[in-house]
Amino acid sequence: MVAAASLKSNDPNARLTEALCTSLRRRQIVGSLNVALATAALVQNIVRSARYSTIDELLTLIKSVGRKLIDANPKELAATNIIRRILRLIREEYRAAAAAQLISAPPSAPETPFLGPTTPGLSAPSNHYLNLSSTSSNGNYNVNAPFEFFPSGALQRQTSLSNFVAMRHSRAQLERSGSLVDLQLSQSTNNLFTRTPETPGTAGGMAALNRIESDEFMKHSAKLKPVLIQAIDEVVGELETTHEDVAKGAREHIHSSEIILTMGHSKTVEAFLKQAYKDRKFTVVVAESAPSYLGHSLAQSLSSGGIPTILIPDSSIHAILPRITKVILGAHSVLANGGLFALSGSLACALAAKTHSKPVVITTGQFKFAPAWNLYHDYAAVDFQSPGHVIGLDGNGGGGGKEGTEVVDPYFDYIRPELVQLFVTNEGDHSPSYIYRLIKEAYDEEDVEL
Amino acid sequence: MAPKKAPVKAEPKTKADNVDEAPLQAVVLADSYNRRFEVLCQDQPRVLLPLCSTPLLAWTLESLSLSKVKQVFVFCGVHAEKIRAFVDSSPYKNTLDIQCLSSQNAMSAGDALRELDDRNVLNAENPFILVHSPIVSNYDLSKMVEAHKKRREVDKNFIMTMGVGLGGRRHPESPIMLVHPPSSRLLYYHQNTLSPSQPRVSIPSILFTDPFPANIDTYEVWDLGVDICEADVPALCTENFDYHDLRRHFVNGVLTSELLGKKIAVHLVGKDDTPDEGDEGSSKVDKRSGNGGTYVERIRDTRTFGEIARDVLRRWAFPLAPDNNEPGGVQYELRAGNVYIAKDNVVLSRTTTLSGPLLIGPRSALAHNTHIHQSTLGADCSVGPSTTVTQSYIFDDVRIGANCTIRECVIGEGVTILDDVHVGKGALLGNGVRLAKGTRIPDFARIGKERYRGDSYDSDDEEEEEDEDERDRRLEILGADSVGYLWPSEEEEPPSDSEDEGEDPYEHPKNKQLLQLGRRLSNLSTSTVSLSTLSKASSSEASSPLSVASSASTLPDIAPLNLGSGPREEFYIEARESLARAYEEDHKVENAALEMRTLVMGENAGQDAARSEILNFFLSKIPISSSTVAGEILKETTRIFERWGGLVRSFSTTDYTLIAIDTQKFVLEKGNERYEKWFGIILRGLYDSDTLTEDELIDWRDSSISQGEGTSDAGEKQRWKEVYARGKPFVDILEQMDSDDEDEDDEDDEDDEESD
Repeated sequence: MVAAASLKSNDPNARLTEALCTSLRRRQIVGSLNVALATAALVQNIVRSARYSTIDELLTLIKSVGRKLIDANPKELAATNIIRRILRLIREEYRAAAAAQLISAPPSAPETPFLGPTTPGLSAPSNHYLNLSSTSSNGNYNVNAPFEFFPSGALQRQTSLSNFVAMRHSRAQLERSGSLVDLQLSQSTNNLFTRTPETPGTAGGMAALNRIESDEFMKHSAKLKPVLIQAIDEVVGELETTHEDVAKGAREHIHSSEIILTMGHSKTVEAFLKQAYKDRKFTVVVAESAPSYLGHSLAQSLSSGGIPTILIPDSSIHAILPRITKVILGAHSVLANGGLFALSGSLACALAAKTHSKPVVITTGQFKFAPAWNLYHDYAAVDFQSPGHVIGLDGNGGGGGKEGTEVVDPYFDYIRPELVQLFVTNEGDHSPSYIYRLIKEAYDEEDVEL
Repeated sequence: MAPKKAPVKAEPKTKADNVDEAPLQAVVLADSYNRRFEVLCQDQPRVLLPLCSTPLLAWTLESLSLSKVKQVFVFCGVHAEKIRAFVDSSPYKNTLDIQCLSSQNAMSAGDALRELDDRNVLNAENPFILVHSPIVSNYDLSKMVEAHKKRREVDKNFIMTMGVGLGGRRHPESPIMLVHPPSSRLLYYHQNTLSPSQPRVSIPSILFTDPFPANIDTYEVWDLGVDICEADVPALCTENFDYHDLRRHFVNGVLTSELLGKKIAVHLVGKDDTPDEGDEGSSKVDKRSGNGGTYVERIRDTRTFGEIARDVLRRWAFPLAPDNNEPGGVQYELRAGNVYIAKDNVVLSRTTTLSGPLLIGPRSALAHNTHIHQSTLGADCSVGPSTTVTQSYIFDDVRIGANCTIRECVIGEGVTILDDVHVGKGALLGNGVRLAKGTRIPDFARIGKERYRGDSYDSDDEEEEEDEDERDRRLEILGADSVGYLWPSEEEEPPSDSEDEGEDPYEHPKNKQLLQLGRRLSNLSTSTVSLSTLSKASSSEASSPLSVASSASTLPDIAPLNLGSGPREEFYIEARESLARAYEEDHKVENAALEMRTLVMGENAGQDAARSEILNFFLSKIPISSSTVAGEILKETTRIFERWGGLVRSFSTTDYTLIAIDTQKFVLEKGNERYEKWFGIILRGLYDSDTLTEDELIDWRDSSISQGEGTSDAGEKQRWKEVYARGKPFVDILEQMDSDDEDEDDEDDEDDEESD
C-alpha cells in the first residue's frame, strides 16, 4: 500500500545497502554476529536518514532491505532475524508513541478516528496504569486513555522503551493472559494499540494506524526517531554482550573435573568455557575441525587461558567419546523446530554423543533463532565451499589432474533437534522443543515472510 | 546518539577516504588479438561470451571487485558498442567506475598500452592491474599490488609484477621462467610450447654470474595473465613501437636490455600470503570469507574455456559460484553432485539424467530420456528427447532436436540443431547456425553463420562467391538445408600476424591445435624433472653446463615423441652390469628378468631396447675365435640359451621374430665380424634351445627387414643380405624337414649339420 517501498537509487542508504549485500554475497562479512551487527548498523542508518512519511513506509523500507539481504546470502539467517526484531521494536515504539498521541489529543477530537464510538472499550472505565510512565510528558490522563487490564506494570514496561527482552516476556505474558480476559476487552485493546500481529490477515490495525499517520506522524517523527534509534542501539548492545550473557550461567552447566568435547571455534563456546573455568576445573577436548581447522585456534586460545586442552583430529571423535562427559557446540543458526546449523563435523559429534548417551549442549545467542521450519532443508543450505580447502591448489590447481574426482566441502551440518539436549542462550536455558515458542514471541508473525 | 554506534558509522567513512586517495585501477583488455574464439565472436566481443550463462566480462569485473579495484578501464577493440551497452546495463556500474576505451587501430596488446599512454587516463603515481584476458578469480589481487609496492620501496626499478599461480593444469602456453627467489626478480623468460616440445632451453650464463642461491625452490607455475604495472610500462611501449605481445616482446625486451635497467618481478599467488596472515597474528582467518581463495584462471582459448566452466561449477572459484554469487544475478539451485538448476521455470523430464557438474539456465526445457553430462546450458534452451549432451557449452536460446549426440563442443547463441545430428568433439558452432536433420559434424570443425575471412580479407573480397570445392564440401557435410559455412580448421589457418618478425612459438600449428577444446594432453608423455636437478643435470651431462633441461622451472619435460631416440646411456651401462652379475652369479631367470624390468621402468627404456641389450650380452658370451669349429659354437650357443633363453623371450611380448632380427643386427655390428659367418649356427642354437620356434624362424625368413629392407645405404643392405643368406638355408631345411616327416627330428638335426 506504500508506493515508495524501496530506496531511491541516489539515496546514500541505497548505496550502503548495496555495499552490505555485496559483501554478504562475496563473503566478506561472515559469521552470524558480524552479519547481525552489520545489519543493525545499516537499519539504524536507514531509520536515521532515510525519507519516509509514514511508519508503514519505514517498515516496508526495512522489509525490502531484509529481502535484499536474504537474496545476497540466504544462509546468513541472522541478518533477517535482526531485521525482524527491529521491525517489531519499531512497531512497539510506535504504538507507545501513538498511544501517547491519543492521550494528548482532545477527547472528542475528530482527527482521531481511532476512537470509534462503537468500540466497546470506550465505555469501560479508564485506566491510568499505562500512562504513568510512558506519557509523562503530557500529564493529564483523560477518558480516552487506553485500557489496561493488568494490575501489574507489565504493559508499562512494554512501553518504557527499555529492555527488549523484558518487553518480549511481558508481551508473551500479555498474549497468554489475553486469552483469559474477556475477549471484547482484549479486542478493544488490540484496536487501540493496533496490535497488528494478532490480526495479521486484517489490515485493520495498520489501517487505523495509517489514518493518523501522515499528518500526526510527521509532527511526532522528530520525537520518535531518537527513540527508534535508541531501540536499535539496544539491539546492538545486546548483540555485543551476547557472549558474556551466554557465559553468565556457565558454572551451572559445567562441573568440576568434567571432560568437555567441542569443535570449531565458536566465540560463544570460548567465552562460556573461559567463564566456567573461573569456578571449576575441567579439561577440554577440541576436535580440529578439518578442513577449516578452526579447532586449532580455539585450542590455542583456551590453553593460553590456562584451561587444560587436548586437540584431536576429527577422526578420533567417536573413539574419545566414552571419556567425554559433555559435548558443547556453537551454532550458526537455530531453526524453529529446535534443529540447528553448525560447523561441519558437529553432526558427527552429536551423533557420537547420542550413541554414547552424552549430553549435547548448544551455546548460542538468541539472535540466531530464525523463524524457519525447514525440516527438509535445501541441499545447498550447508553452504558448499571451494574444494581447494580439502585437496589444495598445490600441484593440481583448479582441479587439474583431479578431473575425475568430485570434491564436496560443506561448511555446515544440520543437526536434528532430537540430538540436542539443551540450548544455553543469553536469555536462559531452553530445550529444543521450546525454541518455536521463543521464536514466536521474539518476532511479529507478519514479519516471518519478509 | 549513543556513543556506541559512533565507531560503527565512522569506520566505512574512513575507509572510503583512504580509497579516495588512490583508487586502485585496472585495465582489462577486452580484445584477445588472436582468432581462437573468432567463430563464436562474429557478432559479439569475446568478453561477452557466456561462461556458465554469465558474460566473461561480468566474471572479470566481479573478480576485480573482490580485489578492491575501484576504477576499471575496459579497452575494447571490435564490438566496442556492445561492451559499452553491457557495462551500462550491468549492476557493476554502481559499484565500480568503469570506463570503456575503444580503439579500432590497436592490433595487439602493445598497441593497446600505447593508446592508454596517449590518453593519459592512468594514475601515474600508482600501479595498475593489467588483465590480459577475461579472468575468473577469487584471489585478492590487491595483495599482489601491495607486494609490488613493497618491492618498489626497495628498488625503484621494478616496473612490473607478473602474477603466476601455483599448480594448475598443463597448458600449451606455459612459459619457463627463471626467477631469483629472494627478490622474486624475473631473470629469464622463455616461451615454452607443449608441441613441438623443446627438450632443451638454453639460459644465458651471464644470469648465473650474479650470486645465485644454492637451493632453488621448484614450482610448477603458470602465467596468470595478470600484471601489476607501473606507468612506465605503457610509456615503454610507446618508446618501443615494435612491442606487440607483452610477454614475447615486452618482457623479453625489458629483461635483455641492459640500458633500461628495469626489472620485472614475479608474484606467486597463494605463496606470499602466508606472512601476511602471520602479521595479523591471532586474528581468526575465516576460510569462508571471499578473501581466502587463491584461484585465478583466465580464459585464453576454448580449452581453458571448458576447463574453467567446470571449475566454476565445482566451486573452485568460491565465493564465485552459480548458486550464491553469480555475477549475472540469475538464481540457481544447487543439487547434489554440483548440479545447478536455475530457479526460473526449468522443465526437466522425469527420465532426464543429469550428471554433474552441470548448469541449466532459466526457462530451459529438457525432454524425456535426455542425458546431460558435465555441460552448461544457457537460458531458454530446449533439448529434444533421447539426446545426449556431454561436456559441451551451450549458450542461450539453442534448440536441439531429438536423438542428437553432442560432445565436447561449444554451441553459440540461437543455434538450431534438428533431429539426429551428431556433433563431434571440439566443434565450435557460431551464433545463428542451423544444422539440418541427420547432419554429422566432424571433430574440431568450426562452423560460422558467415564465411571465413582470412587475414588478407578486405571489403572487396566480400562479393567473391565461394568456389566450387568449398561449396561441395559444405554441402557434403552440412547438407543443403543447413545454414552455415565450414571454416578451415584452426591449424590450417595461417598465423595471424605474419608480418611479425620472429614468429610466436605459441602460434605453431601443432601447439595451437592443443588449445582447442576436446584435445587431450595425456598422450604427450611427461617426466617431472625439476629445477632442483639443475646441478645434477649440469654436471652429469656432457653438454654445456648451463643448458638446463626444459623442465627447468615451470613445466614438466615433454619427452620427445620420435621413436628413434633410444634410452639414455646409463641404461645400457646398468643393464650390462646387471646381466653380468646375473650371468656370473648364476641368478634365476625370473630374478634376472625382474631386475631388468625394474631397470626398464626406471629408465623408461622400452622392451625393445632391453631385449636387444640382453641378446647382445649373451651372444657376446659365445666364445668364437678363428680356431673354433661349428660343433663347438652350436654346443655353446645351445648351452647358453637353454639357460637364459627364457630371459630373452620374456622381453619380447608380441613378436618373437624380432629376436632373430636382433641377432642378425648384432652379428652385423662393428666388432662382431667374427660372428658373421656363424650366423646360421647361432640361429640353430637358438632354435635348439627353444629360444626361437620354427614358425618364428620362418617368419623371420619371410620378413623383409631381415633382407636389409630397413637400411638406407646400399652397402649396409648388401651385408644384411649376406647374413640373411647364411641363415636362410637352415630355416629352409627346417621347414622342409618339418613338412616331410616330423618323427625324424633327430636325423634332421644331423642333416642340418651336414648342410651347414
